Amino acid sequence: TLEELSDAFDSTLGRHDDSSSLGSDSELNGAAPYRQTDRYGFLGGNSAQDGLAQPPVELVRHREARWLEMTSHWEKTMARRYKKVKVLCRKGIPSSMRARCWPLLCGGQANMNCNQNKYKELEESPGDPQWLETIEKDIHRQFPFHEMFLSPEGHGQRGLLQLLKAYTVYRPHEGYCQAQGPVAAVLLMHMPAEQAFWCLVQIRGAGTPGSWLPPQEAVLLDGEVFVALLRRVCPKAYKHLQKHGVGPLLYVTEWFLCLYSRTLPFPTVLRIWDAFLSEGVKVLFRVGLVLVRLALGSSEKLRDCTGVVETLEKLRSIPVRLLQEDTLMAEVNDVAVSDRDVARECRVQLAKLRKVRPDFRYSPEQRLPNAKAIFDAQQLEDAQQSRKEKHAAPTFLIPEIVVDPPPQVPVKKKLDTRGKTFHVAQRPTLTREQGGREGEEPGPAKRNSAPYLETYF
Amino acid sequence: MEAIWLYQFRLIVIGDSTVGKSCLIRRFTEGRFAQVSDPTVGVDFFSRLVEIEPGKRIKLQIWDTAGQERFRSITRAYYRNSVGGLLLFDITNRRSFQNVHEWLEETKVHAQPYQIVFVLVGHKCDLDTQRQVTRHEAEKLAAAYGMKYIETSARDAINVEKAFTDLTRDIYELVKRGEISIQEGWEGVKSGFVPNVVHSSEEVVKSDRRCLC
Repeated sequence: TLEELSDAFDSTLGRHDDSSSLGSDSELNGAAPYRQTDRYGFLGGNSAQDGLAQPPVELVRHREARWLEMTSHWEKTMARRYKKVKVLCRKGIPSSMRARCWPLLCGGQANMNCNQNKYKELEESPGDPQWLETIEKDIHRQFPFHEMFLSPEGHGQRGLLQLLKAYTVYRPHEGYCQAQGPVAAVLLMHMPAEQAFWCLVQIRGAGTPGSWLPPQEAVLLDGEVFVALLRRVCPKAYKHLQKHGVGPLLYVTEWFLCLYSRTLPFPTVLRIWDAFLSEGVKVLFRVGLVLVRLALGSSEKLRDCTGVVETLEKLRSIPVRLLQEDTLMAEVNDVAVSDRDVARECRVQLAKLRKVRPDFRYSPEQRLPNAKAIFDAQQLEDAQQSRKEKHAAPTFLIPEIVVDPPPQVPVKKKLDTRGKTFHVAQRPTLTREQGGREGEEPGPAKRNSAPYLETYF
Repeated sequence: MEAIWLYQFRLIVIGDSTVGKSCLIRRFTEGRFAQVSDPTVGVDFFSRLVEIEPGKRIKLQIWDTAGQERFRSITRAYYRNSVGGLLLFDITNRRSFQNVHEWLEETKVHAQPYQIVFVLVGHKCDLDTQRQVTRHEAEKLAAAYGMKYIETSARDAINVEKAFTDLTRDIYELVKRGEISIQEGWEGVKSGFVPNVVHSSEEVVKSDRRCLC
């Protein structure tokens, strides 16, 4: 039945080829007995079934068109229409557009444009051998069932090693934290290494600063903030956790440091990232609050939770159907926790922590609440820079995407952008020649491997 | 229905990154060997029942910890509430053996005022050809710290049961002799539901525990 399912899945996407020509990994890995991947590139995963429940192709096309339009003049969009961006991020960025949108949202793209050649330089630098050794030990353990990271010699593992090494060279005081691995890997699944690198830098720089730094004080603080928010959002679960002495670090550490990438179904992870990169750290808190509420939110659920282990077990085994992307995100967006709430709790808990531990150094002031704030900060920095240098390079060198007219599909009324396929100007070799099949969808969802190659800029 | 257990012991598993802590625990609690396992971020937990004598079951609550140094500030919070611990090193990795001392110092400071009954575990003993630490020197080190030494392999399931059950037995003996007692506000040892038997040592004693080493 799995085969039937995947066949059905393939035909809905118009996919019949095994795209091994692009993903060198498939050759390196040899003819494995079972090479079926789901739409996200996981071997033997069950997201293939999820694939059938994806939004209809027309809707995806429509969203793609809107994102194309918005990202083609990103400065204007962010200056005037951030609300629209936020709404669309909540609906989920089409998978073909993530490679373009994530770097723009988190500010990684701007950072990259200001630092041309920097990544190459970092990549070529030998790096600290001790870090290199530590990273090397973890490389084969990041998403080992994703086709990109299967082979030790494949571009996935090699790229990940280079990227993480580059980070230790770029921020030597931070070095390498084991929680960086999965985050970097998810980025690499979507975009080329250089962009992934600058996104990683931004995610840590502006989104959740300090959380990979050695004393882990950021997580300590965020744990306290989380509990304080939980007390308000779900008092029942709060009381239970207090009663059994289940501290927040037992569950939020991995959630926050790996941005849920190791905890939730992959489609849901991507949706969380869409929202997180646009709305900032409050999304991480909201997701956590929803998870705790789902696991421990009613007396019925708490009845057989008699201790720490039982409670944690409950948190770990939330039924998958409740974690489906749309179901979960609807709840997440409903949680009444605003940027201001998070900031206020941060202040309160920080004061408390400093009282107990005078050596507590971490200060979350640099945390920028959302994509708009990051954008504004970068604009400001740019303006100051250009005053100094007179002729500064423009921050936003957004690659141009050429839109082809649609291959005669009966066009529905409303938007004339519907049903269009697009391909990339600079990399014509990567456009699909056999296109035009009904229900065909541009973007990585269709490919078996190297998803980001499709949307190379 | 919850199985009946006499006591619950909380154990902690520590040691350098990639010595195989999670794999050892997985082998013990799930009975299988994971070829790859995610690097532990923060702490993780497992549990299993162990029968030390016919009809006498101990519930083990096992805390798995991140080996990477920067997670110490999180993991060290769990020393205090542990009664026993497995201190792992990788017999094919000399440095992980050299760090054993540092780990012990670390726990000593942060377990205060309690002490943890440790067993020293030389892990990955299936890789004997790549051995960088001899059994003799490991035994010597263990003896110097008053610990037992055992070599295990999660891959080949060598001594995994023994490592955990021996430690459990040792702690049980100490509890029976009253050298470790249940204390309020301490999670190391908890009394389970025991039908028809009353142990004197189950009474809550508030005094400090005596030294075990």
